[in-house]
Amino acid sequence: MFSGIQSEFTTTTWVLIPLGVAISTVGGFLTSVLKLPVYLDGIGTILLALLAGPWAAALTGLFTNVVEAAVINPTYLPFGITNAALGLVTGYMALNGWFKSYWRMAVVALVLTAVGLLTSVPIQTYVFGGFTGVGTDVITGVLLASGENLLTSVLGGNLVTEPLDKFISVYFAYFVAKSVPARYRPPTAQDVLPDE
Amino acid sequence: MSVEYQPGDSVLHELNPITVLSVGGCLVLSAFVLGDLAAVSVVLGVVVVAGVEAGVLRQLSRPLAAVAVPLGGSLGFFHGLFSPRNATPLFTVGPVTIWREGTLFAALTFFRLLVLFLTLYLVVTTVHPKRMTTALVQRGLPSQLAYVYMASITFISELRERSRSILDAQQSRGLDTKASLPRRLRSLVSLLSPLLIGSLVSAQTRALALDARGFNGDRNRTYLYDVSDSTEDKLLRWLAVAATAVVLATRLVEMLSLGGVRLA
Repeated sequence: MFSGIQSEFTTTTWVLIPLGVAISTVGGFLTSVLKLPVYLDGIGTILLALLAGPWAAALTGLFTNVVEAAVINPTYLPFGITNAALGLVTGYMALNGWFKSYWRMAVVALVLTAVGLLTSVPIQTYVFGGFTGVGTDVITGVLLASGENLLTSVLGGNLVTEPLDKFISVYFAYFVAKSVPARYRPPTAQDVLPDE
Repeated sequence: MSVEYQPGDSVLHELNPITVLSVGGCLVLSAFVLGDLAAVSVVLGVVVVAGVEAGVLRQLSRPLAAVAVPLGGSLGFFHGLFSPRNATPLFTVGPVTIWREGTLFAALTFFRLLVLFLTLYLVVTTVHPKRMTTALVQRGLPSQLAYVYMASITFISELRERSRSILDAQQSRGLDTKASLPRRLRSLVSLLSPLLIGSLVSAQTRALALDARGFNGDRNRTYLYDVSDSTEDKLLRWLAVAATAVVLATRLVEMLSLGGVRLA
C-alpha cells in the first residue's frame, strides 16, 4: 500500500496539488459570478482525486482549507479534516471504477454526502457551537427553536445543502476532467475515467 | 480583503516562526480546553495584546469583523433565545426572553473562536511565508509540503487573473451570466475546463523545471535564508508548553471530579 502511495506522488502530482487548491478557491469566485446557489469549494479536491489519486486529493483538501483560512476566512480551518476525508474517499472510489458511469457517480455523491456530514457536523457542533455565520444558520436555528438538541439541529441544517452540493460537485468534476484532451491527462485519469 | 504579511520589527516579527506557531497553538488549545468565560477572556486578552504589540490589529479589524460579526450574531441570537439548556431568564423585552445559560455558552464559544481566528491572523501577518516554510523544513517538514503551501498562495492570485480572462473570452462568445439556471450551470463547465486544461499544461512545464532543480532530491539542503532560534525563543516555547500542560491537567482533574464531560 505504501509503495502505491509513493508512486502517486510524482513531481507532476506535487505541482497539481497547489493548482487544485487554487481551482477550489477560484471555483467559489466563478459560482458567484454566475450567481449559482452552490459553493463548489471542494471541486479542486475531487478533480485531484480523478487526476492524481486519493492521497494527493486528501492533501489538496487539507491545504485548500489551511490556505483559505490563512488568506480569506479562518472559519475554514477546522473543516480541513472534512475536505481531506472527501478527497481520500473520492480517490479510492475512482480507482475502483466508480466514475465509469452516471449512476455509479450518483452513489459516489451519496457516499460523499455521508462522509461530509459525518465529519463536518461534529466540528460545527463542538468547535463552532453549531453556527458558522452563513445562510444555513437559519435552518439550524429554527430546528433548535423547535426543541431539537444542538447536534440534531446542525445535522438538519446541513442535510438541506450537502446532498445538492455533493451531487453537483461530483458531476462537474467529472465533466471538467473529461474535457481534458487525452494527451494532457495524467496517468491516473486514464484509468479512472471511462474510455471514449 | 485578503490577509497578508505586514513587514515590521515587533517582537512577533523577530521571533522564530516555530515559536510563534507553537505558542499560538498552545493558546488556541487552552482556549478550547478552558471551560470558564473569565479564563478564556484572559487567553483572548493575551492574543489581543500580542496583536497590539505587533501593530497589526488595526489592519486585522476589518477582515475579522467580516467573519466574526455574523458568527457572533447567530451564536448569541439562537443560543440566547432557544438553547435547550436555558433555565434562568437574563432579561425580558416584551414577549422575548433572553436566557442566561444560552448567552453564556454563546459568549464562551465566541471568545474561543476569536482566539482561534486572531491567532491565525497574527501568524499570517507577522511571519513571512518564506521564513515560515524555511523554519518548518529545517525542523524536518518534507520540502514538497513547503512548496505546496507557497505555490498555493501564488497560484490563487494567478488563477483568479486567468479565470477573469477566460470569463471575458467566453462572454465575448455569447456566455450569458444572466441566463436561466440550467444554462448557467452548463456555462460553469465552459469556464472551469479551460482553467483546468491550462493548469495541466503549465503543470507539466513546472514539473520539468522543478525536477531540473532537484525537487525530489534527498541530500542535505542548504538555505538561502537563515532563521535564527534564540534562547528567548526556546524559553518562550517551554513556558507555553508548561502553561498548557497545567491547564490540561487542571481541567482533567475538574472533569473527573465532576464525573463526566459536558460538551454541547
